[in-house]
Amino acid sequence: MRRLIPATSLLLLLLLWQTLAWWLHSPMLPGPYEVFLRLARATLSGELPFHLGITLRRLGLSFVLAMALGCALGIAMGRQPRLDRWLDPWLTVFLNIPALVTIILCYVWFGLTESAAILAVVVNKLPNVAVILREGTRQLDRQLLEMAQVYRFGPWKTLHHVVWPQLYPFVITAARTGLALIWKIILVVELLGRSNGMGYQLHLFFQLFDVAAILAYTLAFVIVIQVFEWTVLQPLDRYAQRWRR
Amino acid sequence: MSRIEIDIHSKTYPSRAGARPHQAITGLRLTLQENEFVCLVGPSGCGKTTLLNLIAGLDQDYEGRIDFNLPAPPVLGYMFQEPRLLPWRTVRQNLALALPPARDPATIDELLDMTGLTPFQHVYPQRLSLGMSRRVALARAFSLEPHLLLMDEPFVSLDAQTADRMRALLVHVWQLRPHSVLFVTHDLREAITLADRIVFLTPPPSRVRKEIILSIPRDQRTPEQVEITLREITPKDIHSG
Repeated sequence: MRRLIPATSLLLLLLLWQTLAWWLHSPMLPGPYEVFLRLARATLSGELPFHLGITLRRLGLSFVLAMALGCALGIAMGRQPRLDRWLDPWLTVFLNIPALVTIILCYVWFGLTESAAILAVVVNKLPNVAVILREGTRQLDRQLLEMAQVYRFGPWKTLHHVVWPQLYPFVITAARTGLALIWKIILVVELLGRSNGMGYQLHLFFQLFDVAAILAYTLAFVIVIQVFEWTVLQPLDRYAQRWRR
Repeated sequence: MSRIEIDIHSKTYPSRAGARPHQAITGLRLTLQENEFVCLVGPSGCGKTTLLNLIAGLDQDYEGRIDFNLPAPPVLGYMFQEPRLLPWRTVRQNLALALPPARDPATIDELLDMTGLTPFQHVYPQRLSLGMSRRVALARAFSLEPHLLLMDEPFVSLDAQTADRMRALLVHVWQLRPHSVLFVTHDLREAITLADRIVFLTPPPSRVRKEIILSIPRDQRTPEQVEITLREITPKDIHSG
């Protein structure tokens, strides 16, 4: 039953789509069959895997950078109130700059380059990670830290066995929201200043009014993210929860 | 092994959020003999936990001196009021993490056996009762073979029967691996059951008010005997505090 409901629900969405396509009978809304056909063709020709691969590589790189820097910053700010007081206003400023502005400024200042594109994504995502990890660090259990100190755990053991398990749920949350955010930003980055990748392709299809291709690419996107959620994020989540009652 | 000398001139908590500075301890002097079991008794809020934290080195903001008379930093076991186990590590892992690298890992099996925890060694702490969690904390504190074991009301909020069993277990394990113990409690009966010496503290800023040496052997401290001892010391030591 737990698997049946989502499956039926998705089937209903497909049915709705098909009905609408029949009813409108317009090239602006191709039916599911046409889109799947297009998806298959784009995949077989190697065009979709190429652009998807490029986007995934950019995504991976900027994701890892934003997570690493954001975690370090968030933990530092959570541990040191002085640093937090100094940097908090910056964080607020960066959190409130629209993604599009960061992207444009990065391209204007650093040229239409790959590093400018990555930087734009990282700058968008980093404050978000830092805020989540700062919260996690503030909530670290002082009693357990004292225990670790008395029992001479040392820095490495304390980090591994006392601090990390407490931060883990926050890191997972940051990763989840981070992926969702980066997915969206990276397309705009590619659309504005790159000559390959999913964003660039979508832009191309937009100019050609090729809705079937746009939908086919979107579908590929959704599938990749969902597979990542099932195979990576959810198992990690379950692993982190194993000790709970 | 040697005597432990504690001499706290003053411990003051700085003023915070409008509250005035709080002087917790002044002129507290206490010496623990080798393998001596000392119970600290005093009104609540008299700085007993503060004193343990100073001795454990968790709080270094005080004037005074704590001397273990040892060439190297002392090994301390600390049994907090809460068990303070890592919830994401099993009972066995919790013990193994606290065990210094030089110690024989077989110590863990021994202690698990002594505390009756062997069947639960692969269980996560959240699935244990409070009494069992406390037993794990006790085993952890003993596993280090500490020079000094600090205990902060470790059996509070257990039912009477469980608390009695825990006390018996404590004495049993301690007699197998003797070392000095500083045991904080507000329960004078508990102190009479366990201690070689009871040290009474004054209300804050606390000092040592009085000491009583208990010479009755531990195995003769039946509930009746405890009541007799309690009556002997009660009139002047409880109601005036």
